[in-house]
Amino acid sequence: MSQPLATTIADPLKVHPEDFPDIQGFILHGYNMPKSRHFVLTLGQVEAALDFLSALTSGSGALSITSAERWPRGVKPVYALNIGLTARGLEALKLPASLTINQGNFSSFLAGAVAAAHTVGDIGPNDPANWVPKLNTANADRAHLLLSLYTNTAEDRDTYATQLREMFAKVIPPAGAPGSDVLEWDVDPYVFTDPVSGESFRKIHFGYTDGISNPIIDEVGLAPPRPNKLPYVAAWQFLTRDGPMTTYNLPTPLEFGQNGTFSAFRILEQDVAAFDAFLSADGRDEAAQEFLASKLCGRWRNANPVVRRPHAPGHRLPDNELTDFAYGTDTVGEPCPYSAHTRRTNPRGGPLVSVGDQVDNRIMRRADAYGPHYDGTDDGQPRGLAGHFMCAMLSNQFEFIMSQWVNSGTFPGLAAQAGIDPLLGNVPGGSSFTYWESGSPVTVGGFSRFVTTKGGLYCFIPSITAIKWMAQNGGVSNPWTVPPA
Amino acid sequence: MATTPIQNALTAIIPIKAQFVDQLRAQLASNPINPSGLDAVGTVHFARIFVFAANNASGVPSNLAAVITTYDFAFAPYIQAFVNQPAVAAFFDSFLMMVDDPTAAGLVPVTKNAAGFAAFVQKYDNTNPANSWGQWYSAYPGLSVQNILHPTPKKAPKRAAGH
Repeated sequence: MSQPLATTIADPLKVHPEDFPDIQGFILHGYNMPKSRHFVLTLGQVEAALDFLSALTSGSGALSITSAERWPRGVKPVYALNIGLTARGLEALKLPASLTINQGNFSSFLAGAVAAAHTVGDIGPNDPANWVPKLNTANADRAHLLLSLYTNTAEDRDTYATQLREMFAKVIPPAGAPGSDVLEWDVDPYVFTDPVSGESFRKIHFGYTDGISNPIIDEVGLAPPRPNKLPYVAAWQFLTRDGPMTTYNLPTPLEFGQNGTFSAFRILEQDVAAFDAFLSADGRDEAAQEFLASKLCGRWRNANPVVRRPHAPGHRLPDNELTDFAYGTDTVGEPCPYSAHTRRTNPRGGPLVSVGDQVDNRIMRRADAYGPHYDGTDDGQPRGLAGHFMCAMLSNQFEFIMSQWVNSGTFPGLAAQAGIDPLLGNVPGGSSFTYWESGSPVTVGGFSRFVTTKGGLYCFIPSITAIKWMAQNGGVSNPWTVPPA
Repeated sequence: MATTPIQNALTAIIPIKAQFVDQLRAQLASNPINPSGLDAVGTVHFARIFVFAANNASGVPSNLAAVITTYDFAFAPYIQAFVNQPAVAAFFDSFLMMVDDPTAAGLVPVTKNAAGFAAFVQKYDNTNPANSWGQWYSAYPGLSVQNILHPTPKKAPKRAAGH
């Protein structure tokens, strides 16, 4: 007989150390483990699925879900594992009908990533009809469960992937049945080692240093924010929690709804050859290419923000200075264009569509590069970025950023030249890119889409308590179903 | 009703319960719109809210309130930022309790029910083709509030050449 799950109402503003065992680890902190593999599967056998969830949280299985508990002496484990479920996945578990997920707050999650395609710019070549088969329009309703496995070595990844497959073998539909296929997607970030300093940095295939300015969730024990640095964000914006200041009604019961988050899992293919061709067109020399690349991103490839280093990259700034800038006095787009990737995805209080302090619209990125490292040769190999973009409200955070900032061409400045995020947006072919220099706009032609969406999945990342609750309470005869839109 | 790719209009005419009409009228008379809340949203060009007077010349029933605004971009994505402003939220939480619609009270607090509040307002929006038809004019159809507040210097563009 299962024991009642003890749950108390958590602090909506801060994460406390006693919360760590209940929160999936990758929400609070990136693991910085160099190998990962994402699995997407269909739940074909309810009882087996419930046993699987139980095994993942009881320690009875070969692998367990990794919580946010601190690693002893800071030593990384050999693997980390996290789990998410789509709305159709929750439905497949046959959870009690008393479960509530507020339609007004979480309609995006309930409808799924395919339904959000138009909102987030997944149209044209990005259309879900063109996604990888497991996630595409025809099969999206059978994409139920997402497992993200992180390891330190490729060998460990294969070892633990094998054990994980054995654990979920009885969960998926039998071979040959619809949904019996499992999507497995490897992520192998490229690590660049600076020949001078010896320091190592992750880079995306476009050559930019990665992982600079994720929001930091406020935790008890963190030092207060320093002037001009990114402020800490309240826990409720990235962990589902209840309180008078939250902008949503917590899913219920509390055991299910608290301490989770939502994720937009994305597979984004990057056309690095086209990007390089755009940079090198018109006979630009290497320095000119780097200058243009800095305008596209808002950072030089060594991570220095163009706001702080407007003319040349210079030596890489100390880590704590890489986020120490704002756009407050730059109302023209010089030195940082309004369409630059960093400005589009985090306006830092700049006078665009101001929307309060804009902190409400941040997302947490846990994504890295996949595919072989690009060595300057157009080898035709698929490569890009895959992983999780997390937040408490997909509509007000992930979808807001994608629809109103990344893919909107109507920021201040010359509306027709404000542009679309060149590194993430759905840029029409034959566009031009405009930046400002010495008070005048400079227009570069031949600009087009460099990123194509190859997959998307909206998941609920439940708390450890919620996983246990689902394992104990699923399989009912009159279950919860996804409410109609 | 045609607007522009940037600007949109909203003219919501909303019924008020008879017993609250005087209270709302007094509230609107004594509490001018707090500009800081709308400034913070950054998408609102103009906003008006009023209750029709008894025996007004147009013969409009005096239990109707009007919310009239011109704003930038889509309505729904910005409604959360709008109701997150404390003064805005306080007003509409109070307002919804006076509205003669059985769904209104369920939208309180509006901060937690922004999407439902947006749908509620749009239901009563008379720029919605389901409710009326007509024409619309803007003297500066291509400009957002932020374009106006932060104008870009007019300089001749130049082509990039090798940098």
